Order: sequence, then structure tokens, then C-alpha cells
Amino acid sequence: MKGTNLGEFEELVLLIVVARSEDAYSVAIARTIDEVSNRKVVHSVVHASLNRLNKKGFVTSEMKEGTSERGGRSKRVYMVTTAGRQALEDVKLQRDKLWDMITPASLVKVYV
Amino acid sequence: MSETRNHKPPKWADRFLEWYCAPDQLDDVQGALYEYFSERVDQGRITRARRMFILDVLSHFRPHIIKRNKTHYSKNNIGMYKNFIKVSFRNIRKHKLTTSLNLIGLSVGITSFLLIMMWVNQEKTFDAFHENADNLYRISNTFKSESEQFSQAPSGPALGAQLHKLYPQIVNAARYGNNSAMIKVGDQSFFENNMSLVDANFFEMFTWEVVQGDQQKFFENPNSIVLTESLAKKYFGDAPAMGKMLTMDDNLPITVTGILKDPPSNSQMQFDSFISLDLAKIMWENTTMDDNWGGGWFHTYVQLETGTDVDALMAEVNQFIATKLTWFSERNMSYEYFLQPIKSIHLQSDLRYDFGNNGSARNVSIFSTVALIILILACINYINLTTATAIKRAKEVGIKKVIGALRGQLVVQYLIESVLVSLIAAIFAVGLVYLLLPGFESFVGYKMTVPEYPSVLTLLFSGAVLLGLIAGLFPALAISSFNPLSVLKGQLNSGRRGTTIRKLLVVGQFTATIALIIAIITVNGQMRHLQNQELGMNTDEVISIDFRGLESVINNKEALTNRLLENPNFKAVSFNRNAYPVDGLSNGMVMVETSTGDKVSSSLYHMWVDTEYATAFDMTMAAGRFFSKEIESDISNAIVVNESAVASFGWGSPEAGIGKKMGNAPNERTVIGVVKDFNFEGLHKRVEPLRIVPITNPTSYSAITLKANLSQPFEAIGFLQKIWQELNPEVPLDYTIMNDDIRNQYNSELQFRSLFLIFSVLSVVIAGLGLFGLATASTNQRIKEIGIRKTLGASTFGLIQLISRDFVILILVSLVLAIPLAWYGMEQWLSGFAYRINVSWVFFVTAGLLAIGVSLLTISYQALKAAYRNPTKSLRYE
Repeated sequence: MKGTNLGEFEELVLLIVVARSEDAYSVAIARTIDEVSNRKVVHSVVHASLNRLNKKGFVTSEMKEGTSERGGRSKRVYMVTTAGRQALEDVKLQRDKLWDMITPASLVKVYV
Repeated sequence: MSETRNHKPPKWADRFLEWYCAPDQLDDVQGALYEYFSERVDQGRITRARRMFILDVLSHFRPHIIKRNKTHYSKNNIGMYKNFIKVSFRNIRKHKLTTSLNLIGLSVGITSFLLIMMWVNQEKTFDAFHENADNLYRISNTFKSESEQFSQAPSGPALGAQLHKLYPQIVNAARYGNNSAMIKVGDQSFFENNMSLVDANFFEMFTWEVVQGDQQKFFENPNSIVLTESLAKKYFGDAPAMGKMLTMDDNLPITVTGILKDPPSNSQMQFDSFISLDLAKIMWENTTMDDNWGGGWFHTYVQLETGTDVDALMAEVNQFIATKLTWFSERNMSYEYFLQPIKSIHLQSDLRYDFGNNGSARNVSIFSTVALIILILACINYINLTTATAIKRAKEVGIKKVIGALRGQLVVQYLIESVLVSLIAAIFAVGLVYLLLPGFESFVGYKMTVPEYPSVLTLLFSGAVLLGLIAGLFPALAISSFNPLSVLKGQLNSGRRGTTIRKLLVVGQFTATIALIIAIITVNGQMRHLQNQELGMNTDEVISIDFRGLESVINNKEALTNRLLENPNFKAVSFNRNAYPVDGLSNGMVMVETSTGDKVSSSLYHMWVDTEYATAFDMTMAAGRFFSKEIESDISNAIVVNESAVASFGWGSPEAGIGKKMGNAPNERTVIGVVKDFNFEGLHKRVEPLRIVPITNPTSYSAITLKANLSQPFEAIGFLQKIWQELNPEVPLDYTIMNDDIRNQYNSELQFRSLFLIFSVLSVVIAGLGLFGLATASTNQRIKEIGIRKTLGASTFGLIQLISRDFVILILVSLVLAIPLAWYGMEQWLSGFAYRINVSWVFFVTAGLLAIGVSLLTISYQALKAAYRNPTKSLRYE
């Protein structure tokens, strides 16, 4: 697959999937994004992103029983795959490397 | 949660989601959206929840989720169909001759079909435009006397005046009669023949489009007239007509109280203006009319309660009226009243004094049949041509099959092709209809009401698709049945494929064609027979003038007669009431002496004339003499009858009829002469008994008949106009030349003949096209055979024979089939005429020779081309 790298939003979603290991389904993920990043996300965006992650092979999913507020509709619960974990770690590694390159002086420059 | 239950997300949005969402994603997405929805509802923001739900559904409408992303793929044929259509167009373009023959045949067929169907539709929906049409009936009657019986459209005036007051089932009743009068507008005078006399409630029952005025108040004052738009225009041009004053018959002032749109062409009543029957009663000084039950005065219409038992009602009505008609029953005469639904009158009714524009159910069915035949012929053409040229498609089919096309797919492909051809033909046909409609309308004599567009177009194009399917089914099956192995090996003798069916179709086609040719010959012969029929009087040199009994003209009788006779162009001048002895005579009751001396009741046609009438028309006497100026008692005592009357009363011979008495004293008259029968009702009908009565009172004159030398018509008529202007400057000269009138009488027949001719010739042409195509195909297939035969020494004639033989055999078979069919059909048609020819074997032979001749010409063109072709050319290719 062409794009195996992780987009910014995808990274966020994938991180939440890992974090909410048991209960990672689209609505819950969207709520978490709300809480953590304080930005309103539309459900379809999250859903699309999950679909993309699935295509890239970073997550798998299985269907679970739905609750009454879902009108009894079952929900798709996502789990991270090895490839997904690897991708997250790669991203973190990249970021860490970059952070390491930053000197306090350059930080100051930025804020001036 | 219970609260959530009560609130449902917008249904259409939910449905939309279910529609587009891939099934494996649906539960998850829908569940999530429900979850959001219930959360928002719990926050008490229901409107917002609903709005957000809709937004969510819309925002989910993305490629990754839309159905085609579902994991199992359905077969997608669209691309294949696109290819079918493309290939079809290529084939249509490639086989130009076949395509154009097919297209011409089909579009001519569809055009004829459409035109005829428009006419049929018009004829079938006559008078259906009235809102109450389903409940409107005309009361007509059958009159019986001791010597005869007949049915007539008009009834006595009391029926229309009283019935609706006597029977609750009869909601309303009105009478409709015809009147003519002289109308004066300012200083201009017009003769109006087409004024209708009606009751005020006539306008409640029938639906006419009112342009101006209040139809409740049209006849509030009896001195009123309601004009049609065209008459108002004739009188006043573009100036307003409402409220204007007109003068009727010299001295009666009437006011225009309403303007109506001209009656639609599919209305039995074609009027120019209306005046009230109340006014007529005043004019005629007839106050007791509304109590007069007998006779045939007016067309009487009733509007019944929906669901009325018509038979029971009429039984009651007849019983009741019988009690009023004692005068008639004492004389052994009776009336039997019956109802005619207004919608059926146009096609079903053919009574005495019926509407002149009545149609004929027979003609409608004849033309429907012709329309169908044309369409079928066009279909057969398509089938024959396509199967005959199927061999050209053999390789295509073979290769497709080898690649893996299923037979069903090939059938679909060829069906698509034929549907395309038929759709193109339909488009051509619509264009042709537009082009031809004005001509067709002037032919039929009225404007067609084109039905509403969308529905008609849908019908037309679905019809075209159906036509394509029907025409294409057999060729599709035939073409797709090729065996790929033999096709690709080149061992194809598929020219023979489907030959039996093709032969059957050709026979069918030629049967229809020959039958139509026979019909054309018969119809033509019958029309010529009618036109050559002796009328029994000379109408070549007769001018008739209608002056509506205006006194000023009658006062000038002597002067006019003398002045005209001074001119050598004029030979006789007759004043009478019946300038037209060919159209709509009235009839009246009279007691007639039989051969045994008893008197029987009778209702006879009668005409009132003066002593010059017989001279004017060159009538010949079978016995006795005509009225004479010299014998004064003739006017009060004498009567003349025709030969039919002699036969009807059983007098034996015309001579024996002289001296018989008619009528009761003091009005008893003696028969002094019998005229040879002359035809006064048109040649559809036998000559009926007639009595000719001299006019006693000069005020009864209303018309003049002149015998004139019309070899130089302008001179004679110029002279007439000059004298008329001098003597009667006030009165318009309204003259007609009798021959024209008589020709008009056959208008509908002539029209029928021309229409029938046109459409029959068209269908023959279509069949000819088909034959041409077939001959082309079959010679093309035998080109090699012909080449070989030629090199071996076959003669040109021999070759033509070879190619024509098959066809000639088919045509002979068709001839055998067509003759009984045509004979039966034509006998049926001819039985409607009183004066008719017989279908003779000459017609069959002519038709047969014509068919064989035309087809041989068509075929031999192709055969000759093939025979003259250099065999080296046709044999070169392998």
C-alpha cells in the first residue's frame, strides 16, 4: 500500500485506539478527541479515518453487541495491530529525534 | 431513556443512510449516529439533535462508505450495454440499404398509425367534453303508422318542456332546434342558417366555454341572442359585441347577451348562435307548443340522475306519453321513445333528421384495421429484411460466441438494435405527423385535438419500444442461433435459416396487400357508381336561391320571373319551399287510400312547390301529369306522388294510382300524376315515398329554383345578380348551384375514399419496400450460383425466372388467401349502400395481376442486375 505513513489525525485516532484498549469504537474515540484536544470532530471524520487505518492494516475490528441508545445496532470495536503499534512507535521515534535536535536556544528564538 | 424512545431521528435521513451505506458498515455507522442523537436528545435539544443527525448522515456520504465499496461485487453489465448500443449504431450505419428500407417502412407505418389513431380518438370522444356527458341522453323515437315506420332524432316539444318536472330521475331537460333568419347589423344584412333554438337550461346541462356574459342570464329577456366568437367577429369585427342590438327578420330587435367560444370540433352540435325558444314561441305565435307531445320538432336532451334505470324510466315515460297521444292512437299511429347516450350518438346513431356531422362506427373500425395492418406490414418488413440479411452478421455472432457470449446476451443485443431502429423511426414519425397534420386536418374536415403531451409521448415511445421488441424478437432469435463452428469454418448456408417462417410472413404480407388492393378497386368502383347514379332529375343546370320567405321577394315574384325569362339563359323559374330536393325534406301525417278503397294512416315526406317545379328539374312523369298553371283546381285539389309511394301503398301501377285520394275532407286531394323516382335523400338510401303538394298560399314560398344555361356561368349568374339587385336591393342573394350541393352530399364518402386510398397505397408501398429488400437479399446470396449458371450458358430470362419463381409462388398462395377475405370484407362494406356494385371476379384478377406485376418489376430489377453482372466478378472472391 502506497501510504503507510500516519497522518496527524490518524495518529491521534490510532493512539486513542491503543489507549482505550477495550472500548475503542468510533463514538468513544470521537469523544476522547473532544476531551483531549478540545476540538469538535464530526463522527464521519473519525469513521473515515478508522476506515483508512483499517485499509492500511494498522487496526483490526470486530463487531460487538450494541446498547439501547444505539437502537440495538451493534458496534465495531477497533484493536491496534502489530503494524499499527510499529507505526506509532516509528512516529514517536521520529518526533523524539527531532525534539532532541532542539536546543534551548532555538526554543527561545521561536518565542521571541 | 424512555424520552429517547419517543424521539426518532428524521426518517428520510435514516432511510437515505440505509440506502447508500454499505451493508457491512451500516450497523456501526447507524448505531453511532443513533448514539449521538439520543445523547443530544437527553440534553433536551431535540431540534438540534435532529438537525445534527441530518448533517451527520450527509457528512457520511463519502466514497469509502457508499455501497459499491461493499466487499462482495455484483455483476455490472452497464459497460456491456454501452457496447451493444455502440455496435447497434455501427450496424445501422453499415447496412445502409436495409436500414433505410426498415426506417422508411417503420416511420411511414408509425406515422399512418398515429394519424389514424388521432382521428379515431377524436371520433370516439365526440361530445365527451361535457361535464355531465355520462348522464346526458337524447330522447329519440320510432314512429309507426299503418303503412310504414321510421326512427327520427327529434321529438315533440312537450317532452323537453315537461318531462323533468314529472320524473325525479330526470334532473334537467332542454330542447335544441335549428332556425334560419336574416340578421341585420347596422345596414348590413346576413342570412344565418345555423342559429340554434334552445331552452335556457340548455346551458346548465351542456358545457360550453363562455367568453363573455353570464350563462344564467343569457335568456333572462327573450329578445336575446348568444353569439359564437367567430360570428361576433363577422358582425362587429374587433369591436365589442356584448350588449349590441341586432335586428332579426326585418323587425325584431334582439340584444347580444353572451359570447361563447366556437363549439369544439368534436361536438355534434355545431352552432353559430343561440336564440331562446321563448322568443321562437313569440315569433311563431305558438303558445300551446309546450303541450304538444307528438311529432318531431326538436332534439330533446335529458340529464338523468346518476345510476338511473334507463329501461324502467323509459317504460314509464312511454306509458305516460301514450296517454297524451290519443289523436295518433285513434289513427293507428304510435311513437316509441328511447334514449341515446349522448356520447354514442356520433358513431352509433343514424336516424332521420340526425346531425349532419355524424360519423360512422364502421369507418372507425375500418380505419383502425387499416392502421393495424400498416403497422404489422412494417413489422413484417423489418423481420424479413433483418433475417434475410442475417448472414452478414454470421461472423460477428460466431466470434462473439467463441469468446463466450451466451445466446441470451446476443438476443438482448439484437433486440436493443431493433428497439433503437424503431425509436428512431418513431422520432421521424413524430416529425412527419407534425408536418402532415394540417393537411390531414383539412382532409378530415376538422381540427384534431392533440392529446396532452407528456402522456402521449410516453405512450408513443413505450409503444415504439414494444414495436421494436415484437419486430426484433424473431430476427434476434434467428441471428443468435448460428452455430459458431460452422460459421467460422465458412460452411454457412444460413440464407436458408428461418426461410419457412419468412415465407409465411411474406404470404401474410401479400395477403394483406392484395386484399387491400381489392378493397381499393372496390371502393373506387363503388364511388364511381354512386357518382354516375342517375338521380332521376337533371341537376346540371339548376340554380337554387334561398330567400327565407321574405315578403318583399314574394311580392316581386311576377317581375322577377318575367325579367329572368327575358334572358335566353334562363328557361324556368319556380317558386317553392324546397329548393333542395336532395336534403332533409320534412314529413307529415296524411291518410291515404289503398287499392281496396280503405284509408290508412301514413307519414310521408312532402315537398311544396309551384307548377314550374317539374320543368326546372326535368322531372319525368311515370303516369298522369304535373300541376298546370291553366287548371286552377290543381292548387286546391291535386297532388302528385312518386313511384315509391305507389309501391308503398300497393296501388299496383302508376296508372292505377291516378285518382286515388289523400287526406281527409276538406283537405282531400286527388292524385293526378306519378313522377318517376328521383333521389332526394342521397344514394346511401333507397328512394322513399314522397308526395308533392302545390303551394296554396304565396306567403309559403321560401326558395326559388332556376333552370339556367350554365355553359357560361358568369354571364348567367351576373345577369341574375343584376336583376336581383334591382328588384330586391335589401335582400342578400344566397344562391347555390345544385351540382355543388349534390357533390357536397357525397363529401364524407369522397373523403372516406381518399383517406382509404392514401393509407392503402401507403401500405402497398410498405409491402413493396419489403419485397424489394427481400429480393435484394436473396439475389445477393445467390450471386455465385448465378455466376456459375451464367458461365454454363444460362439465359437472362432463365435467370430471372429462377429468382422470381419463389416469389411468384408465394404471391399466388397469398392471392388464394386474400380473395375470400377481401370478398367478405367488401360485401360487409357495400351492404351499407342502397345503390351498390357487386364484387366481381374482375377485381380479383386485376388485384392479382397488379400484385404479381409490381412484385415482378421489383424483383426483376434485382434479378437483371444480377444476371447482367459479369460472372468473373461475382466468382472472383472466395
